[in-house]
Amino acid sequence: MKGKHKGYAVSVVLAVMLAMTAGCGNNTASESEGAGADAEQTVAVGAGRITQCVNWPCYIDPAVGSGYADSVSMLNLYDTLTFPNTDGSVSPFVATDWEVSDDSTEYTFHLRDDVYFHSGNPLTASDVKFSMDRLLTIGEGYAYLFVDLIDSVAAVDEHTVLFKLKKPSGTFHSTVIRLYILDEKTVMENIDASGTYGEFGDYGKAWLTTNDAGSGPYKVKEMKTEEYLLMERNADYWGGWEDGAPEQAKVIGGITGANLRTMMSRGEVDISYDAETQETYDALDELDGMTVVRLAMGTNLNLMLNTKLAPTDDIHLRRAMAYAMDYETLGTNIYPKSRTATGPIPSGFKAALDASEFPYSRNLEKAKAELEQSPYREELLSGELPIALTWCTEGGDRQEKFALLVQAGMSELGVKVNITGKPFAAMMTDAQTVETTPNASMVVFAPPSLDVGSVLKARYHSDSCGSWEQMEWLRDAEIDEMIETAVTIPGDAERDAQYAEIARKIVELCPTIWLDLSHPMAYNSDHVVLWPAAEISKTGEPFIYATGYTAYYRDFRLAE
Amino acid sequence: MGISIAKRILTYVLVLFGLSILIFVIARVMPGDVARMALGPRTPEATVEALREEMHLRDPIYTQYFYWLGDIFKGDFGVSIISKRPVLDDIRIYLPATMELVLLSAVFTAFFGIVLGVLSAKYSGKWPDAIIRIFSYFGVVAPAFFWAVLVMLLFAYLIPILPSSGRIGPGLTEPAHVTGMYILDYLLAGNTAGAFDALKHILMPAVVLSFGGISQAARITRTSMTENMMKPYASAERAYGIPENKILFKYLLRPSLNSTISVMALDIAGAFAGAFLVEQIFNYPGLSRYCLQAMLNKDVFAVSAVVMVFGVIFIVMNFVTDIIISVLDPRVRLAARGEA
Repeated sequence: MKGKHKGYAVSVVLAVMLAMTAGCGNNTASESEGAGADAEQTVAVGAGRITQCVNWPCYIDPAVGSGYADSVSMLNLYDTLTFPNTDGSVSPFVATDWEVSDDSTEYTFHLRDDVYFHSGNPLTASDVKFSMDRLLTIGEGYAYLFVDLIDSVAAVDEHTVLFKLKKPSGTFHSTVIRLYILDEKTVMENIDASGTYGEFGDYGKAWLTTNDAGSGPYKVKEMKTEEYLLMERNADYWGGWEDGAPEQAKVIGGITGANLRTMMSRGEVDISYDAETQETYDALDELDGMTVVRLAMGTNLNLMLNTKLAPTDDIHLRRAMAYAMDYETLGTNIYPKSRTATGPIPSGFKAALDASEFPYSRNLEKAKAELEQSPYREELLSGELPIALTWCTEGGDRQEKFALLVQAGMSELGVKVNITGKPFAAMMTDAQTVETTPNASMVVFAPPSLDVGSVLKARYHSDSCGSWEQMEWLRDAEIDEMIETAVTIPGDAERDAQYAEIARKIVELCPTIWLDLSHPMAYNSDHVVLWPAAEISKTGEPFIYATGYTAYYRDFRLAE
Repeated sequence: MGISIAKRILTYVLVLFGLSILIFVIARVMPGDVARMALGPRTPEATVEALREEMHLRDPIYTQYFYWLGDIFKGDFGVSIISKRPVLDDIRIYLPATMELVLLSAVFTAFFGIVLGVLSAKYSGKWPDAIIRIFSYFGVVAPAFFWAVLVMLLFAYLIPILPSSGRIGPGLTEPAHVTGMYILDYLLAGNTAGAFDALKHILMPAVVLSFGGISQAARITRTSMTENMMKPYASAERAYGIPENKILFKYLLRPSLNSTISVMALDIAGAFAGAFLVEQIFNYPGLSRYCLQAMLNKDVFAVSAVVMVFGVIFIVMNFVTDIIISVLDPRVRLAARGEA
């Protein structure tokens, strides 16, 4: 290479390096500055944004989504008739009040007259009817809560909507926290006529993948289906705004481990997801301004015992397993700050049993005594009849540790437990018949609404046998009847008493080993100065959030 | 020559056909009910059953295959159960992202791999050779995700000069879609700030992705160069007094590159599919990460389509490599014509 060429090459390399260096530096600052060259292509980045990591993908169409990320998005973009409280009750929201017929089969909701969609259209009873019809027709998302319940919906007048139910329900006003109200006019303006829903085309499904038709406190600013959802304030929100509430809210997927730690340290993410390793939370806890909280969200972890397959079809063996369980290690080392459950109703619900009513705690003497009464005792002790336990691989290493803890506990009794990790998809397939359902299966259950009846029905009613929600195969006619009766009782106290009675009956049968999960989440408390869920968790009082409602951003407050 | 190319194209078609059967079967025998996975665990059974019918899941697997193949010939790769969009739309979005990442990585691989290989050969047995050898061993032995975490902690956490996630910063909007490769699209739009931002975002993943390739290329180049340096024509060139650098770069490098290019091409083609860990760690929305998510969610249409795309890329890369080698090495051209 000639000297002149060498000189050019060195100059070019230096120029590139210089330009790179100029383009680097503090990321957040440079992003807005760097973009200054093309101001029209930028959006404001400021202190008024909250960013939360969630699981991904995220579906923002109310007739499609029902996961955590979906719920977080929908409850911020859309309004509902009632709003959940942290004690398991609901408050009026878009509905100012409601009436229930004597037989609990008709609910009449009266709507506010000052609610407007992001499009500017007023929210009316017709929109409520449209939203329910759309949800039931598409049949996805939270439709499962309503599909067996709704007979018809009618807009009585502009601000009155009547729901007729196929069967009595004392808790329908709680279930409608999952009926997100869409702007009928906007949706119909954006349907794809080639869709499969007749005159409704695709019912707006394609458009609603990246847009909203809601009236909620936030509206879609940008939806990148592969990465994040960015929402911005609905400035004209009927509920108003208080100082410090986030101007923008961003939910972002796929940020884990080292990347999460890096982004949180740089202030690019404010709230972590809840499925990180303990090491990651410990590392996050050490960062300046970072706080790790553990939120009880009504989710419980269930070791479901197949009551129709040997040897767990024997109640004495199931009780022996419950007594052999090391609950302290489980609730401190494996799932820190999780509570030992008091039965099938998660703590936080008023109907949850008192700890004094729950008989199971680690007691090897009682476990041995129960095992002595088992007709399978000999086969169990000889290893001829091991217990098959499946844990869910998506549950991470903590579920595996839980499985090993069960194995260790039973080995103290001389009983062999074979453990297998399987993806949830395979577990769902296994759950379809008694024979393919393992003796013990580990499943996390999150209540979709604040109705204990829906929890009990999904978990222990015979109708749910064959699904992942009930791998116990309880099939107990008495419990079925008790649940069906309880959900029709209109009075809260009376209904809760009946739910508690069902819980006692289930505890007696010992089909499950329960753990009330606490979800660890790290957040930047220097920036997020008020996060209601974090505050309430610090009080130590029982509380419950319906899935996603810990992230109702309108109630958050950010530092100036 | 024409017959040779025709034979090769026929082989490629057969390979793709075999791949399509293989991936179709594998995607469907993975555990889990496709329709149930698509609609979620709590969706009413009637809705799930309707989807099973729509997806022909009740038909024998060979019937399903022919439905799928027929749709592909019509340009319909099905709808992804993750994104709820046509898979082809997803590929249009994700493929350019991975393409951009792999191309930049390929540039690093080619440049640094060859330069380090030549230096290593030139200083064979001396300290530069030893350092490059150690680097190469580390590059080959340590997996990409190790480098990804290390580089991220170094340049995004301890010395925060590079972004750790995504394709562009939150302050920027995407460039108008021309190629789908952001750096190029920003430059075409005259937005240099945007191009720099995209470059900053892609730099760490691309460098990390290239480590393995650089190491391999360096070692192979060194071996070939060292062998060629011993050949009589190299000695003759030295005897004529031709400068050593000229001998290395003008006369020895070209014949030494056959193996390097073959391996490099396979590395680059493999990087399309193998980038998933790097894309996952850097939260980079590319096709590999998309494919991983599709597999975890039993998104059969997405998995099948993406694997077919990777298959085509692999074949194209092989074809291009053969052409490059035949251009570089006259012996290969002559052998193809039957003259050697």
